[in-house]
Amino acid sequence: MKIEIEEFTRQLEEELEGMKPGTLQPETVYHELDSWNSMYALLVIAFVDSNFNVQLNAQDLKNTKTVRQLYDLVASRTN
Amino acid sequence: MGTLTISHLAYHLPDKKISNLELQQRFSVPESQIFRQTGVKTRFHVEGELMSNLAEKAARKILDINPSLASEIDALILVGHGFEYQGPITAALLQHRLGLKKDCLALDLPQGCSGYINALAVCKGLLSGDLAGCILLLTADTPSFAISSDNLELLSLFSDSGTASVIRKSDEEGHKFVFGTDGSGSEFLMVKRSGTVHPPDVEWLQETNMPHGKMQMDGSAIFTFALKTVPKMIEEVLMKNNVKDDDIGLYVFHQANSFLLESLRKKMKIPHEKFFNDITEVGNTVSSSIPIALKQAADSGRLNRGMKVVLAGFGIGLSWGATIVKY
Repeated sequence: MKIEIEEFTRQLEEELEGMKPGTLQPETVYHELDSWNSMYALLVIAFVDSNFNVQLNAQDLKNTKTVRQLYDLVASRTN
Repeated sequence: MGTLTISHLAYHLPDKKISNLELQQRFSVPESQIFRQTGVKTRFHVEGELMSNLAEKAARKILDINPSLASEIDALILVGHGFEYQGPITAALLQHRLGLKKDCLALDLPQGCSGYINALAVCKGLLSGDLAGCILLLTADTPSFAISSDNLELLSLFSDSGTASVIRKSDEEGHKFVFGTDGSGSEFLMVKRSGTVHPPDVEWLQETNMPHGKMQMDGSAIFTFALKTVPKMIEEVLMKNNVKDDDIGLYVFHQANSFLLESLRKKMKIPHEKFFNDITEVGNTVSSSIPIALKQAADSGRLNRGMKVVLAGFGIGLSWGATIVKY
C-alpha cells in the first residue's frame, strides 16, 4: 500500500466525524472506543472503498481489532 | 423498437409527520446524531391508511385534473409491499376505485427499492409489444407497519408514501436496462414473519403486536452491497445505451440514505448539480423514492423535458436495476 500506517490512521481519524484529534493510534482497538457507533463502521467501509478500492464487509470489521490490523487487511487486498 | 416516456407524475405522503426532535424525545438520542446517520429531518407514517389509499391519492392528483385519462389507461401496475389481500390483487381494487375501464390489464408487482425500475421494464415490454398504449404505474409502501417501535435506525429512515406515473410509448430509440438479483443476500433486508414462512402466531403477537411482520436490516451489509454494485451498474447502463456521462442531465437514484448516496456520488465522481438527493424532507420511501425524486426535481426546475436521466434502484432482494429515460 502506498501510504504508511501513521498516515492511514490520520486520514481515517479525519473521516470519523466528531472524533477528537489524536484519539486514533495504530494500536487503538477502534470499535471499543466510547464514541464508536454504527455510523463509524459505515464511514470506515466508505473510506477504504473510496481511497483503496477495497470492499470490506461487517465481518471484516469484526475480525480486525486495531487500526493496524485494519491497515494490514486493506494492504493484503490491494497487493 | 420504441421506448417509453413518463407523461405525468404525482405523489402522496401521509399526514403524520415525525421530526428528529420527536425521535430525540422518544429515544434520548440527540437529533443531530439522528440527522447525521440518516440525512433525514422528517418522515411520514400512516395513521389508518393502507397501501391502496396512498396509491389512490397519488393517482387522483393526476386523474382529477386530467379526467379523460381514465378511459385511456389500458394497464395498471401497482408496485410495493403490503398488498391488502392474498387475493384478489390490490391493483384490481384500484382499477374499480379509480374508475378505470374494464378492458384494462391489472398487475401487482411485489417489489422494493428497485421496483420502479423493474416496473418500467414491464411497461416497456407492454408498450413495445402493443399490449398497452397508456399505463398507470403506481407505487405504494407502508414500511411503518413492519418497523418495531423500539428500532430507531429504521424508524428514523423510512416513510410511507404512494406515487403515480403515466407511462406512454415514445418513438425514440434507446431505453435499455440493466438488472441484477442476488437472493443470497435476502437476509440482509427482510420482513420476518410476514408471509407463509413462520407466520405470526399468538405468542409472536403477544410479544410484538406486529401482525404484518418485523423488518430487519443489516445496514453495513446493504451499504457494502450498494457501494460495490451501483457504480458498476451505472457504468454498464451508460455503455448499453451508448450515452456519455456528459449527455446525462441528472442522476436519480433510490433515496436509500443520505450518507450512502453521498458515498456513491463521490465514488462515481458525479458533480453535485447532476445528482439528486431529496431524502432530507421525505425519508426512504422504498419503491416510491425514484418517482418522488423525479417529481421534486421537475418541480424545483432541476429536471426539464428532454433531459436524459439515469434512474437506478437497489436494495431488498438483493436486487438492482438501472435505465436511462428522456424526460
